[in-house]
Amino acid sequence: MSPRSLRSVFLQRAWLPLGLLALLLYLVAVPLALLLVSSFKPTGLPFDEGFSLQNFAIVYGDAGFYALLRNTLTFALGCTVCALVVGGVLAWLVERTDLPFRATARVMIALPMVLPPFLLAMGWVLLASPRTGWFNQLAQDAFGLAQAPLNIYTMGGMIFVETLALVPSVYLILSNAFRNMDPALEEAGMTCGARWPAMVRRIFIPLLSPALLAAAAYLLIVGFLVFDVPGTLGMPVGLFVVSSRIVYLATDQSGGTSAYGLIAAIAVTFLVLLLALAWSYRRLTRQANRFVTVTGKGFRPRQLRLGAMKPVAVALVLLYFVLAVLAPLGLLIWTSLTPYLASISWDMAGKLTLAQHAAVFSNPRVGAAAWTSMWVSMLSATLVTLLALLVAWTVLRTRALGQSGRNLLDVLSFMPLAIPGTMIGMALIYMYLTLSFVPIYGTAWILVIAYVTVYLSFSTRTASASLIQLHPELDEAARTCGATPAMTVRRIVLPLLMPALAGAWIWVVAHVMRELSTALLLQGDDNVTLAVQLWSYWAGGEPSKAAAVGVWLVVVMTVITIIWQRLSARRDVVFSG
Amino acid sequence: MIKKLLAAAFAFGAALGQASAQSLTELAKAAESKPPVTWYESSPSEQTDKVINAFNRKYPGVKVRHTRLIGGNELAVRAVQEMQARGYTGDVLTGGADHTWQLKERGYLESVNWASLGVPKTLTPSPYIMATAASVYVVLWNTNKVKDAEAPTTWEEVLSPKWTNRMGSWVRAAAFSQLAATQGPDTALKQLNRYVALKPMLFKSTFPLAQAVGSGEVDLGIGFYHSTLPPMNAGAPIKMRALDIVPMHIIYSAISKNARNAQGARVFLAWLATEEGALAYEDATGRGNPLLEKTKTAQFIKGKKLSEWAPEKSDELGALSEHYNKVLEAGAGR
Repeated sequence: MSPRSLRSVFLQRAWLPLGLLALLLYLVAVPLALLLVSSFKPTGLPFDEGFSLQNFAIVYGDAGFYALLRNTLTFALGCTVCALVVGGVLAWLVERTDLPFRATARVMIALPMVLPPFLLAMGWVLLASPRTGWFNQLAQDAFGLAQAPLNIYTMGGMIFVETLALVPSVYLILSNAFRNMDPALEEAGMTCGARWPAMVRRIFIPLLSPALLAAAAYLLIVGFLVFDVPGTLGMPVGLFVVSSRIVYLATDQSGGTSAYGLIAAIAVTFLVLLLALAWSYRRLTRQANRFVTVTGKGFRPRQLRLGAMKPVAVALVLLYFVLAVLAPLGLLIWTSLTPYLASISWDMAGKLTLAQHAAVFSNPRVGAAAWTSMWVSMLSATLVTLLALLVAWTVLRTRALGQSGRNLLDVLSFMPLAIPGTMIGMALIYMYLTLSFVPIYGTAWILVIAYVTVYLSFSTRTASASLIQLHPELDEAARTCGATPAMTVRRIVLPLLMPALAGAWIWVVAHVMRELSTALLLQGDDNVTLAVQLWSYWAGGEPSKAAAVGVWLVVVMTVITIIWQRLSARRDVVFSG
Repeated sequence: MIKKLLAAAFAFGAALGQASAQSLTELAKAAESKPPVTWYESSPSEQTDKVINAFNRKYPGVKVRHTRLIGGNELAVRAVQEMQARGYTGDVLTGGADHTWQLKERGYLESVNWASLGVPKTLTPSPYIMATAASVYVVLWNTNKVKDAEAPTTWEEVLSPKWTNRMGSWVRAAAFSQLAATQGPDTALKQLNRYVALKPMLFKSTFPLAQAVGSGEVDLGIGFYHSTLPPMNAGAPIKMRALDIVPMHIIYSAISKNARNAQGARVFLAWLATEEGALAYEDATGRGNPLLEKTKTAQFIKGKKLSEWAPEKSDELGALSEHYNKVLEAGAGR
């Protein structure tokens, strides 16, 4: 059999989808099963004795939990709506208008991904705290105000900073959907005399609904589970959310061990919510052809002329960049140069030093951690992107495994989003301690497996949202011309999906680079990552060194983001050609 | 007669010391052929490297490898998971009383004859654990915002309404739970309620709290001695002092069952119990052993009334902490 026919068999026959299903069951179902078992164990440890419902009784019988849930709902919904609006507008401006410097804008919008959210929040404390915030001091000095005009320690402050952190994810999901929209539909709308609000309501939102729903589902769950921003901005003033409870149960629970049973019982809420979202998504995208925008008919994406609104659009992109990157990054650089945490002042300017940067560069552990982060993030991103493509292809483009099998595959790929990182870490520790013939416990390889699992949800949603826009007639045309399925994927589907996949790849790289909770839990002798090193400095009372690591992390990620941008630019050429 | 008894006691002590030195040498020799001693502990590895280097100056043949586990709960869970799945875990486990005690209750710790290793009795409340260091509560203040004379010296002064909206502390009410050991749970709870009325800012750990005091975000804080040191040493405008009653958490070390290098673990812990070892650990991590009087920590709290629950009362402390934490969370915030 020739290699070509081998590839053909690989893609056509059922064993690939079956293998895929088995792999996802291995990656997702095992941690999920351990999570469920833990929720029924009195100690929360799956191999301990006993079986009870007490964890559910404690969690759901506590009135305080519902107060937390209310706060969390406000926070999660607030972030979701704000990030969707801001990310959506930015994606539209960059992809569908004649905004100048679009390549630079793409990098500017994606860059905040790399800032660890707790550093972003810390930066905003130094900018907008009522007592020491630099913006407040400037405003009070300039206008003689008696009271600070800004207070970052509020629900609004939390939503604002989390929105800044989430916008790049929304942008990456929506930008490709915007690019792939056939301008004929807008033109038809305009010909019929439709105004912009009607076009947004009747054309944009329906066509973008798979991507919008994917982004909304992602944001909502992240809003429920994220701790960095609520921990830094909410906790000091008593604004607690469910993730505060999860972190408390993992690290501070009295009695000597993490309360995994209670965490697992809480996580069940997220699983139910996520299943509901997955069901809605499947229902919405059932008639996939409703969302097809890329067909065999060539088109050049229509770019709206902004005209007099161009300066406003540029100002909007710049404002986001200033708020999400420049201001906090400036503070990060400032902090990396101060001997201890201090807000901006002339007094401190005299004490600035490069000693923290020198200390970071002379620490061999930082070099080792940087190398581990680099290869773990790139390998994880590559594997998870490949896996996401295969899952999306199998679910949307094949009849393998039957409808229920494909549904299972789709839901499995979505599930990890609802499992707290600490629970995935715990499950992997058990798995690889037990499977001693797979000697990856305590090594960086266990991190690769963890990250492929954790980030599968985002990548699959991104790949699916883009693939759903490609009309099957493209594949059919290729096959009619004698292309094998492998060739069709390589020559037709991959180039068309490349921007989305490259976006997902860079997103995973950035998130692995900054990911902390799983990396800390799976920490062994030689798998310390840069984020762990950064946290180590932070938690060890050396915020200036942590900031120095953060600054260099941003530098590295800027380079990677520029490379990604170049890849996206190539996609423009493909379309234009 | 008394002189004779003292002479006999001194001779016995000297003989015991000699015997333990001899036995440590033998243990160290046996440990050299074993795998490195694995040490599970929560300090950054940059800090523990210095401790291990100091240890290796005395025992160059005994290798120690540090694995950082971010907190006591993670340490306990990791130990349980490893014991359940493969039958052994880190050789030396360093954590709080509640963490080491529950590992002891599960039967995962080795009973050790500490006296034979020359470890003072005061450090070993049980054959399973040995006091290595402590987290000692202090009051810290920003010297630009609070005059030294104005800074509290007693808990009563800390609870003065003048600190309303000016205070910060750890998000856990652990200082008050430890105060309950000497004040009684009711008094400590009343104090906690008065503290909550001050609307303190709460921080995930005492390290960011100390930084917040240094930056002027809060004027006054209740933190730990060791977490106040980094910004102080970096020149931040911070001072600290021990109050009239000093709550603290002793940090214990233990040797796990089925340790791969049990001999090395014994030598290492025996060394940590010496003045040399305790000072090396304190210099590196800021955490000193309050039970060894040459440490800075012991000097810092000298003459103060200490308040801490015994390890065997960990369950009682746990229940109290749960209640107090809820009180603090419910009333916190500006």
